[in-house]
Amino acid sequence: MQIDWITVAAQIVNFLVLVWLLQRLLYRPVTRAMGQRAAAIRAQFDEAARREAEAEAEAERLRLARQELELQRARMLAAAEAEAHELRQRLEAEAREAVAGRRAAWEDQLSREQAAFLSDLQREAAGHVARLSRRVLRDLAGADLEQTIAGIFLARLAALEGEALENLRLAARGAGGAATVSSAFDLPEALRDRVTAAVRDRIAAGLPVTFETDPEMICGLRLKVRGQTLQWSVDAYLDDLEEEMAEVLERSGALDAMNGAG
Amino acid sequence: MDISPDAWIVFHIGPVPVSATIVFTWGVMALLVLSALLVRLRLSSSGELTRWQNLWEAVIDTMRAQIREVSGQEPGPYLPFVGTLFVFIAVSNILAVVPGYAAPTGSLSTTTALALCVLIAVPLFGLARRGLGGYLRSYIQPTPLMAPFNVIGEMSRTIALAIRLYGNVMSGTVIAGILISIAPFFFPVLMQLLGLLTGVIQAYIFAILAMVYIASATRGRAGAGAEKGNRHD
Repeated sequence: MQIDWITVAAQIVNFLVLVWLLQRLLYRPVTRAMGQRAAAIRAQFDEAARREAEAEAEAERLRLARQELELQRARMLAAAEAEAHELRQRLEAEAREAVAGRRAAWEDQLSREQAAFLSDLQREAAGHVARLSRRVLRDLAGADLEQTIAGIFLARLAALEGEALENLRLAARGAGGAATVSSAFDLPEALRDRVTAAVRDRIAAGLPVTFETDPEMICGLRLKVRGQTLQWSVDAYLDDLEEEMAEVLERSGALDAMNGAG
Repeated sequence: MDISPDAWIVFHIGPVPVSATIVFTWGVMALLVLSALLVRLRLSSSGELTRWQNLWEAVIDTMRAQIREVSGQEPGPYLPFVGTLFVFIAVSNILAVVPGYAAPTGSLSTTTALALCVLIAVPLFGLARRGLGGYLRSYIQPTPLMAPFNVIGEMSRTIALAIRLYGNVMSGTVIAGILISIAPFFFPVLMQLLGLLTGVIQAYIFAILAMVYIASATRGRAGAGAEKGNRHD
């Protein structure tokens, strides 16, 4: 039970060597490795936190973008609706306008057709009346219609007085005065002489009288002296007939329109 | 009954006798260095560890925590010395279960050598940390009159440290010897198991006491040094 100082010295040396060896081989490397691992883990955590923050920022950005997109979509939808509404209004207006235009054209055409019909009717009626009158006059009186017409015309000429007669005389007295007698048909020679004599008697002696036919005149005679005119024709009667027929047509048209509206 | 391995001379190197204490110390050292090499060669700083590295990391981490707790300072400078004290004593004592092995710590020479190392290391750590003036001032605290007592205290605690370890390790051997003569069966086995426990506890106590002494030297007994040390808490 004693202290062996040689062993003590050797053990001190042994211990110091062991300290040095373990420090070199164990403590320093292992401590360093642990530190590195801790740093790596800390870095991983930091990285994870950074990525999480990034992901959150990205998510926030995406959320905002989606909101913006939805807003934009709603805006576009509203704009499209407004546009469609406007387009519909415009198309309706155009359609209405077109219908109105067509209706106006139709009415115009209708009135034109009516007028043409009336005109035709007038012509037809006048023709009928003339033919009828001619036949009636011929059958009843045994005289030519022309002669009867001329008789009536001459009677009117003889009955003419006052301002109208003065005007005719004034026109005949003017330079180059000449009288023109228009009729719907050629007058027989005897009738021409009667008319010429009556005109020279009533208006001016020696007045040159020319005769011409005017197919526009339906039935009648017209004396024209430089703008002054005296005439008798069936036209007046035909005009009356036309007026009456127009009235009748108007009434039936209004009735149709009312029925159509009804 | 001679139970000190000092008396067991294995061979001579020239005129110098090499006792079993030294031989077994070399054996323990070889074992430690070998395991350290195993760790060192396949050291990994990533998540995958070898078993040896895992074991040593656990041991080293615990030692660092203990040093930090006792000294209130960063364990870096103290780990090699204090850690080696613990590891060496613990392995020496644990190997006592191997038949034919005599723990080097059962030799008063070994424990004296370790205690002397602590005796030298304490002022060295104090000087390294506080400088010459700061360390010497700790001897005249609280008054210069106390200087002789401080020196005596320094000496006596070193001796106490050596005797404590030696007595505990040797007593285990002595008790085992006595019990074998009284009751040859079972009791020695129980005593061996108890020896494992006390061996580790002794290693822990020796290392912790060494750290306490070093900490008191580096921290100072009172005053500015203490504050300086406590800053690491």
